[in-house]
Amino acid sequence: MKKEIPLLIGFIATIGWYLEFFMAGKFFENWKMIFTTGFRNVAIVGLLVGMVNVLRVNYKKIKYNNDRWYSVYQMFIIALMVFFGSLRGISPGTPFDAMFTYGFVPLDATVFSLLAFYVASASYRSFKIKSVESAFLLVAAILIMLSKMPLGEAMWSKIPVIGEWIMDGPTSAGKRAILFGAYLGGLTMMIRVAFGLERSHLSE
Amino acid sequence: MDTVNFIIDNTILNPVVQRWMSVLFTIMMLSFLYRDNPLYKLGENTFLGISLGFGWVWSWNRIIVPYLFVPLKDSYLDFQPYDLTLVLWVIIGSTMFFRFSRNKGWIANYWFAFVFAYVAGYSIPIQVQALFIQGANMMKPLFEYPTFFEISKWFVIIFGTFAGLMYFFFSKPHRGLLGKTARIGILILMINFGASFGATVMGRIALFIGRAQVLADNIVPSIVITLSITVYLFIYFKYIKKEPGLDDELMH
Repeated sequence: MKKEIPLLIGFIATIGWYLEFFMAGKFFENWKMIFTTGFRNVAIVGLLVGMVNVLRVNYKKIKYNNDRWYSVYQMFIIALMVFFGSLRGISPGTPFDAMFTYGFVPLDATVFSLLAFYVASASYRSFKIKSVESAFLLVAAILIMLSKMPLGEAMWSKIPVIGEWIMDGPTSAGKRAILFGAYLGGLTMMIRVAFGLERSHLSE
Repeated sequence: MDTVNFIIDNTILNPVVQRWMSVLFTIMMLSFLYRDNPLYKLGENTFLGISLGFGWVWSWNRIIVPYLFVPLKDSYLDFQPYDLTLVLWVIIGSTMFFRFSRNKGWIANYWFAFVFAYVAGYSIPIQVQALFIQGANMMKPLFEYPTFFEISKWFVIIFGTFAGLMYFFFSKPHRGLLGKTARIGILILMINFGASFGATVMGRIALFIGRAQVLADNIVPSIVITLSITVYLFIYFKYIKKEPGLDDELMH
């Protein structure tokens, strides 16, 4: 029960796709549909579990943690969103949408813009040209930054063109090389999951 | 209910309140640049609360009700043999609730087994296929490209990808031709990392410029809120916050 059934589920769900991929016919079309619907339903129940988990985590914080008022406040905001959503719906112009536009959007943009300061500070401390490789990294970073600001174009009109060439040429090549490697690893992982060799997701 | 609607219309739906909210949240989060403080934590929890509440309501309306509760209700009212699969998926999905149990947590492995196998069996081959199709589409005859600029990109992409892959090829020592190719590969990868870094930094700066524009467009709320938050932070760090002393930090 603890090992065999999860492994069997893993085998059927992985191999099922291969059967559908290589074999034609009504049966395999239905087979594909059953699994697609199944994944959707299983993921939806996962969402419900996530909702319960938020309540559970906040309950524990409120009960045991010193910073309990932040959790109380967070639960209040969640309840407020649920209240707004159930009162007037979620379409544009509703209070639910206003909370998103004037609450979430500024907070989200500011949190991510804060990273600019920390990245700049970290790169100032760590970027040193000690080798040819690090020189390539630094020069590429500077050229891309210059190409994306008006100052770069004002310095030399070709800088945006160079930036575009770097993004389309070497950057794309480097990304592809990494992706090829990652996807080959993914395919290997798929075969390991199918045959029960990979069990780390089953807490083993 | 009229009172509730009146309050909503005059607070969250009022354009003046909306502007002040936007400025307040921006400055609350920026206060972290000085030091971690209660206002930042409040903003952080507002961020979490709104995003979780939004996720809950949105997924309830658009996903959970139409794709789970409505089919379950339909199958209850008019049962067909095919509905047995729905029941099976709901049972497998519900095993995830056992994750909360200490003794029966292993039952949730059924959920993980299915989700991992589905993603491994379906998503990964499709992504690999897409990557190969994308690569194959690029392989059009060299002289169909209009300019030398485009042709040079073609060379860099083809040979750069190959060189990058050779850097990850460890079945042979990196000497001779393989070593030189791998060396070009690492340079291509370093350019990739540098360019990605530069693009990320510029993306963050663009976000910051957007926030600065909001502050500049709403100058009165910006000044009032900035002054209030500065005074609060001064009082908080000077008189309220207890700095960890020698006993708290080092002696335990």
